[in-house]
Amino acid sequence: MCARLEEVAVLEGHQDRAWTVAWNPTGTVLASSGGDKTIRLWGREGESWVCKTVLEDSHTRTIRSVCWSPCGTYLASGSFDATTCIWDRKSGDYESSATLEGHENEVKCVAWSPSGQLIATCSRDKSVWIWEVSEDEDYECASVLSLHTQDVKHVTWHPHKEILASASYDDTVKLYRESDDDWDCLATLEGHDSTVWGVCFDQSGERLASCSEDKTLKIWQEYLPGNEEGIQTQDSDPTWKCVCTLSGYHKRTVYDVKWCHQTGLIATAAGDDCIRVFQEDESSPDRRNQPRFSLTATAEQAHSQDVNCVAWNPKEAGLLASCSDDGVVKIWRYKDE
Amino acid sequence: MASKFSGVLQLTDLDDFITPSQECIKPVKVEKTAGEVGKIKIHNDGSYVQVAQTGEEVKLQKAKITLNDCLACSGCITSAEAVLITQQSQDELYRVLEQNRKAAQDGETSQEKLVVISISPQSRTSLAARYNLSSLDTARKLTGFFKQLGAHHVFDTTFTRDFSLLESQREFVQRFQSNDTSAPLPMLASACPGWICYAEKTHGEYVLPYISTTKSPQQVMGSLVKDNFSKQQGKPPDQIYHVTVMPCFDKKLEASREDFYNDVYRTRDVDCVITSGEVEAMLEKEGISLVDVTPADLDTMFSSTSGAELLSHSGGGSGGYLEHIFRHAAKELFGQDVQSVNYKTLRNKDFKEVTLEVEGKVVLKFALAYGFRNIQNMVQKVKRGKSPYHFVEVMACPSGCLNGGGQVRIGDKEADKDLLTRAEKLYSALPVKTPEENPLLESLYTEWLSGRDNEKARQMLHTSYHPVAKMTNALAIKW
Amino acid sequence: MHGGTGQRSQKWQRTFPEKMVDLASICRFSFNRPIFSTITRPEPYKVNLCVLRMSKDAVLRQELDDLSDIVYDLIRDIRDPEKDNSLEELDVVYESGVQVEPWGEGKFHISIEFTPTVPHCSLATLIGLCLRVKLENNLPQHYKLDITVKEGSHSTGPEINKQINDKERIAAAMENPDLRAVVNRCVQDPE
Repeated sequence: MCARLEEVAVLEGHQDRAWTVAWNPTGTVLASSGGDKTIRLWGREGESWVCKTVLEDSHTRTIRSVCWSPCGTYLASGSFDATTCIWDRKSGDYESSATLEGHENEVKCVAWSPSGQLIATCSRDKSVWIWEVSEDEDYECASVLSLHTQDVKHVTWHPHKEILASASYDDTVKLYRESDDDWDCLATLEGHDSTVWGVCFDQSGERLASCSEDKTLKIWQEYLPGNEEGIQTQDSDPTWKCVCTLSGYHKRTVYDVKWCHQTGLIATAAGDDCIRVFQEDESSPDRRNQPRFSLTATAEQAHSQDVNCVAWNPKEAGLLASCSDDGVVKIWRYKDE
Repeated sequence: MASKFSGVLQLTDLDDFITPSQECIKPVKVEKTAGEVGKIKIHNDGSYVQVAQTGEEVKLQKAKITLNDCLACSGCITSAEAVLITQQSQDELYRVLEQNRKAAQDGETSQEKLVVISISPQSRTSLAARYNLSSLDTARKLTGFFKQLGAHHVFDTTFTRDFSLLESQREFVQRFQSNDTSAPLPMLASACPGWICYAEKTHGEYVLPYISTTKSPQQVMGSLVKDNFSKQQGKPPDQIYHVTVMPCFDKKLEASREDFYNDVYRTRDVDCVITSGEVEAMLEKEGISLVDVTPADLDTMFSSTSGAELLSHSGGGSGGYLEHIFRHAAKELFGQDVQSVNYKTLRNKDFKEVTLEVEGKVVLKFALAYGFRNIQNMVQKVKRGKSPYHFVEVMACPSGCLNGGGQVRIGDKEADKDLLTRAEKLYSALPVKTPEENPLLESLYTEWLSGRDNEKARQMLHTSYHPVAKMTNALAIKW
Repeated sequence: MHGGTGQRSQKWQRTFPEKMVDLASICRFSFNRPIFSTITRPEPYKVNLCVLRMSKDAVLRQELDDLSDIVYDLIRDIRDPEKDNSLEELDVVYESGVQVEPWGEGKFHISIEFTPTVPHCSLATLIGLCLRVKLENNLPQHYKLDITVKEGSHSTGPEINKQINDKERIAAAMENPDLRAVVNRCVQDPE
């Protein structure tokens, strides 16, 4: 271990467990949400971090997920009340400007595509919905993907292609792309032994990390048709293969994983109250097919209860936010020793 | 277990998974008298008994779930396919046919049921595509097949679609002209049972008033067979066993609706629905290909043929509701003769729009919305009062009824796509006529229904919808 | 019938004159503070809890046993969702089904095994929910909880175990007013 996570700020305010943290695209505002049905926006004031705004009264149940639009003007929130709310900052203050309805029950995650044109949501109703943002800021359903057999826990977009990944209680990850005027599954990633809670792409979009109830972290590599390894693909779609499993580190469920697009570091949030950071071993002989990762930093007892989410600041390398069942949001700095 | 219901129903709790080996048991809260402590024991045969302190054993009743329970429930209870299969399947048809044979052997002809099969044109087309036959050959061979098995009559629901189309046309014009808030616009098509079920379960009071009250061709055929035809034959309705052959599983749910149940005779207008795929399974069971079945003449009583040719309706494989209502409304309301209906594809191939302009102004705006995503957008707009349409042809399945969940499938994605393309070709190749051109319809209106706008016609050709209250029995909520 | 339990209960009555429930209101929202800092209770209480928290070596086993007793005392009276009996009366929960182990510093790992009344009891998940909520409401200690149905006691055991240990599903379920009402009714203290 050659690094540590230094606690930068402890942000208190949520009255119940905090489920998500999300940085705005410029890394200046951190949004958090939770069981108290509020979204809190945190920003810097001099040296310290403070709560700038509390958004409330739009959801009637837990706000499970928040996500910024790539332009930073909008915020989307997904709630256990089955709706997704769009918040708009155009007039200066954040106002709830649209409600996306259609899921049968709890919305578990919401993700804005890098182009800003699409929003993906997923729910316990086993479906993943893709919404199109039209010019007049109307949100229409472009696809309903009912391919998972259970609760869908997480959705995330490829960093620069219109490819969506979803993680589910059915132990799999699925990838989707548009084909023939509807969306379709291009790959199903099987390997976890239990619920997959989180999934994220690396900066290149050629790799995925997934984390699970089975206490492991898995790294998946994309193999395009005609790949030199001779890995079989179907039609023009790539095959995704698990190239590394990190087990033995987490003592309980791994609730979230985030791959930093600036540094390549992988952070995890787990039910053992710890935050861990993994780094790829660059001296590995076959990095593509047999990458090695090592644990470089652990924030033991980072929170007093389960850590639910981690988020790397998109601009300030090494700045990490986390939140927990203890209701606290924290900011950490990753420091090489 | 992959579900066979339309995508719309798979999304709602209706399709929730239950273990196939278990019967769906609806938990019921038992109010027990104080002080009574008993134990529950399970016997080897799976029966539950309550053991009182005295040692006395009382066998407990198992709560059984019928399809009606499923329909009336908003949440927990699954319409387990097992339930459907025991109540409406080819096995059930075989059982009735076997009973008939027995009754005939024993000389108890009064016990024999009159078996009527009504085949939908979409099912016929699916089977035609599957066996590479023409539509007419398929119709004749299916007639031959069912009659060999012991059916007495084989009808075509194209005939009753004439009624559905005419009634929908009239209903639309009435809605357009009146400001009745209980029958607002846009009028939403009612022929797709998956859509109806979804609307009742999830959008209840908001959306139901918009749905056309006209019965689907299947249920008009039900009325015709169990009311008009039964009188003609001098058989009470419960002595007729009416089977329809349909492109989708959701039609089984439709046939099970209480609205289509005759309390007096304790019989349904449609007793059993089997899908195109189940007909294929029947042929396999008999060990015969449809190609080799000896054809039989088509029944002429309720048929849609002209000379030796089968007839159809314009406007695509889902019945042509949009086109028929559009032409009729253009003529009735604006004096316009529409030559060809031009569809403008919007967001995707299953969402199209048709407009009528008079003097540069759009006076009619209709849409097709097939598949769940398009239904969603349509419903949300209607709910918010933002729908620009006067009529929407709503169908739960992408590509409409020819692609219904009960159609013949090969199991390979590409092969199934080809099969659908072939079916669409076969279907659109049929000569079309308008319902107004059916001479038999006029006489049925007069003789059977004694006119158009009366109670009898309303009973026979229209129905109503009922919002399903959200499940609040916590013992049964799935979480 | 449950002699052992009776004895233990008495012991607890000696040490804790008040019901455990009182702890609930104190600790629910004091998440990030030292867990017992807000307690202003009669003396025996405070002392005992401090011992619980600080105990490490020799006293540890005794403390774990005591906590295991507290846990069992909390769950034994939970009422069956359908019947008027308690889970203990129906043999759904039993002392040997509760295990407590240390889990990091000052924290505990609690595992509860229960046996549904019949192998395809449709209420097994609801019972799991009640167990979890009862502890959440009444147990101030920092703990990790795993609940399982006794192996082989339910036809869909693994599925039930998965669901009743998914904290997101549980959190969502407890926001459903109808479910909340039933669970509250079941976990309410007996009169």
